[in-house]
Amino acid sequence: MLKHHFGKPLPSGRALILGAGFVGGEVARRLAFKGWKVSALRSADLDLTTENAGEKLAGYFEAGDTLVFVSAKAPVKNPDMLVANLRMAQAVLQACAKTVPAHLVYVSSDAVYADEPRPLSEATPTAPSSLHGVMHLARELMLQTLGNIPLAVVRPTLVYGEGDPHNGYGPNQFLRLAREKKPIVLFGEGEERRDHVHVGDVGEIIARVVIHGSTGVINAVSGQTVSFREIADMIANQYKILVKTRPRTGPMPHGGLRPFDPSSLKQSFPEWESVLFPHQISRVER
Amino acid sequence: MLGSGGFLGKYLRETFSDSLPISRQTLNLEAKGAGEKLGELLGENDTIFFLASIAPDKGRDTETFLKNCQMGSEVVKAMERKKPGRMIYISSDAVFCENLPPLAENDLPCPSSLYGIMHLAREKMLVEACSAMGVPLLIVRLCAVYGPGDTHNAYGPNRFVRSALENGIIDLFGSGEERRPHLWISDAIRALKGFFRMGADGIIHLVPPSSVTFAEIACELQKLISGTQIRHLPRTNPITHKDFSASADSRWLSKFDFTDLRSGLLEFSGKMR
Repeated sequence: MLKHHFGKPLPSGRALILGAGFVGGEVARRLAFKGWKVSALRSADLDLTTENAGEKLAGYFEAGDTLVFVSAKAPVKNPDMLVANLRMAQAVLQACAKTVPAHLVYVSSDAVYADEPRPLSEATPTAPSSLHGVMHLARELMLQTLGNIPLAVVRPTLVYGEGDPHNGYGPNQFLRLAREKKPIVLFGEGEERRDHVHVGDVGEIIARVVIHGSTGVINAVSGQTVSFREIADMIANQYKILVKTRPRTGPMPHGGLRPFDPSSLKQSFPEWESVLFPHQISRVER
Repeated sequence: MLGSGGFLGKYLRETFSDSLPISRQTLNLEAKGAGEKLGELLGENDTIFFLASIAPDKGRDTETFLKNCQMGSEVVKAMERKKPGRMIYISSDAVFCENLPPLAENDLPCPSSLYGIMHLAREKMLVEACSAMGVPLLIVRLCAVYGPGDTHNAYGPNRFVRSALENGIIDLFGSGEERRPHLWISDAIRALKGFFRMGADGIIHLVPPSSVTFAEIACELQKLISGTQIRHLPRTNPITHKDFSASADSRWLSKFDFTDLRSGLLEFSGKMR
């Protein structure tokens, strides 16, 4: 569960978002809406993998600002990408040593958890089974070495919504196909159940972490599992397209089920209500 | 043999006398382009013993962590340049956090330190590369190894023996309650030689059958090195334990005869006198 430094949210403050893409952009919008002064850095503004990036980054914010670290080259597919991502974290560490932020928020991933028979929670041991998960856990451990800076780690599960850059199998890809009037193709019968969280919810969780000055770890999840088949059928009905299947080429990912326990999220933000299926999919259409 | 200049590497070099030793002085694996150079040094179908790493006593910081990860990445590049016949990676029991039930090879690694996640990152790099290239891979997760020539002087038998012989004192944090496995260097080399000859693959935890407390080690040494005093220092870290179950992959270790702690310490202290 998170620990809030500010019981009542800070009505204003200044934040720098590293990575102004899909999730980072949403965080920036939410914080700006809440009255915060927000600036955002894209890799085109500052490539965090380059030499002296840390020193340059330190010039983009002032001591006492909040830093939200979203940037990543994802998903990590090879050792070079892993090292590049770790160098980005090193740049953040170097910047924080030079200009000390009041609060650091790291946007990690649920890939730090292995699959468990029980719903995953923040108390589940971190045991990444992929290079991508290793990268995020390594970054978390790297940032923890900044013992003097309050740190919050947000671990989103599968994120969907307008502007997703990955076009991953699931709501993002299905909606793109539907808009192009192409059939949705499911692996197997699309029976595996996953937790899908809307980018708006992820952005709002992170924004709340920022305005409360929260520390600790929180999973950004909906708390509901939905099968790929259910998502596909709903979209197909709406767009009048076909849902096809193709045989699986390997074992069902995550053994077919990867549920999350959202208790900690609700305890941290008692008024929090995730937007659940089927309403969540329609939010993409807004 | 990558990392031939280290504690384990020096012993292995004697065992595998026809190997090509590569130490930091020969080729700095942290440097960009090291993978290409290493690829040039590799022969077709060579076995790579990958031991090289910067151990925690040389740095626990993020820069050291990055250098270690970079080494892993460069080794993968070398493999892509020239496909080896086999890869043997010397990992660490640090891929597991402490205070878990007895660990086996099929337990999921859950590192809690940069050193531990560095080894896990390298394991994953090699698993993916070897799997894609069809190269047999053996990952040996070693616990703390003790013996003459140790370069780390880590808390445990290595430091205790030195300190007892030089100063007549063994410093224990608290009452030395933490349980850990400790492997005698000759056992480590004998087992690695066996794995190599048997063509072992997969993951092996190279750890003795039981963990012992630091206090037990100190008491054994007190009996072996007369006049040794045990001093108790204030504890700086909470008490943690690490235990392993019998190797799940018993194919490789079922008949292995581990040296008991007393015999190992006796030989160690004898050689250090």
